[in-house]
Amino acid sequence: MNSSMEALDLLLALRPTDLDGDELALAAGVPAEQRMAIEAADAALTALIGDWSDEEFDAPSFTGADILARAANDTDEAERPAQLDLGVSEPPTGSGSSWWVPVTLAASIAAAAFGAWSFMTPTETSPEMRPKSLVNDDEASRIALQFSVERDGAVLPGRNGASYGPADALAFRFDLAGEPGYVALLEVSDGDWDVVYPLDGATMALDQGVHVLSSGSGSPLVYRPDDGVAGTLSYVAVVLSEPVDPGRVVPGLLAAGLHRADLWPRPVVAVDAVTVTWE
Amino acid sequence: MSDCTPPRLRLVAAGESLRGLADEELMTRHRDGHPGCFDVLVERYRAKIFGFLMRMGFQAAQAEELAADVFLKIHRAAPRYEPTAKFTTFLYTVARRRGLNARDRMSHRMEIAAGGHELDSGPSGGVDAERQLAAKRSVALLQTELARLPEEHQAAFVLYYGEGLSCADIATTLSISPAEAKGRLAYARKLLRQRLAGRVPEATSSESST
Repeated sequence: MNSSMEALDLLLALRPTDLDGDELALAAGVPAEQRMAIEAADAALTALIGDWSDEEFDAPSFTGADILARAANDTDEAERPAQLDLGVSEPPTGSGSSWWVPVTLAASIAAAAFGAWSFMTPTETSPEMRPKSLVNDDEASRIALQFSVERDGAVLPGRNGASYGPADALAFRFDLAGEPGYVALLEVSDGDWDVVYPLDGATMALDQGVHVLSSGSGSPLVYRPDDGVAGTLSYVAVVLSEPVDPGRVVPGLLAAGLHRADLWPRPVVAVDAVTVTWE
Repeated sequence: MSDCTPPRLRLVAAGESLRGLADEELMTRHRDGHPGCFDVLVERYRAKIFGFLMRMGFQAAQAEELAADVFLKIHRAAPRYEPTAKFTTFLYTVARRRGLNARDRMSHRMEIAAGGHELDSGPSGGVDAERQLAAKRSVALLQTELARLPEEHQAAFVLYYGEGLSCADIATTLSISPAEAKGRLAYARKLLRQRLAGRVPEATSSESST
């Protein structure tokens, strides 16, 4: 199959509902002889894909109740590789945990222009715990991940490396300097990772300045772990120069280490992390 | 009259009504604490997510464990869930990330022989049995070659042909444009066609006809 046929091959191989107007017109305009040649050349692959996609798998036996029971027992202690390299002298240790976000309002990112919380003292940083200068030298973006703590209705400055209890909840904000970027917030525990926000594989497009992870009504989204969870978790803000799925770059980023900007996968341009121990 | 209705019948009716709800409504209700909604979602999608992970090259035991992990993450993300996009794109996004995460962990010992799937020999004897076995071998070969594709192309291919997602939904799931989703599909097909040439009898004949 030559290159021109390959271009048409995809048009003919896609479902018509996936073709736009131009593509539909192009597909319809393929001469009958050429169409037959393409389809004949592609028949075997098409049949093979059909057999492959028709293959049925037995459904797993677990139920929703099993999953909820597992969540309640916090049994997610699967094997874990090397711990997150924060570039600190003594990497944090502890078991992983999961997170609840009690706020159920529409989530969005908004400029920090509301509430006293937005103007509070920035997160206290501990040089020995906080990776420094986490920025790619080739790029002009820099981010500081900050958080505050909600406790019994009061809002306190968050302290990197501190321990918090079940009465505490965290609210995050991003201070982006330099070039605009696409930001995601990760949760990392002993090398296991997940994207905390956004949930859908997208990223948050941010201009420079302070931005609060907030609900649609403007109040900060607050996070707290499951009841009974103890251990150390890191929260990592990643700035990308392109809006790619952060899940694509996280394995490479963690493998390289947050302090090794020279080894970060593209398009990571800046990173910051905080670590919290839950008691 | 309603007082005479057995409680058991009421429960069945409630379950039936939940099954008629859209994914996004079920997830929203689960987020808000309504019981039973998560069960319906798991029942609706556990086989699909398991199949997706199998097609991504995981062994059955791994795929089942990962599928359970996916639903655990979905449950834990529920408080943050907003129905701004299809639930399925959210679900497959989580499933792909879980697969990526697991693959990164165990890449050194991931088996991709025969696509990671066991190939039973099937019934012995007879032309039909031989054809079935040959077809199974061809499918296993396709699975093997799929596992060798770059992950982003493999994911696009599996989501389109294995899971039946639209190009627009694949674009959302993979955080790319629809045009890039189509480009990845085209590249995956091209690579598969090249790599299967001469190894699957039918594919050989089709290549030779060009």
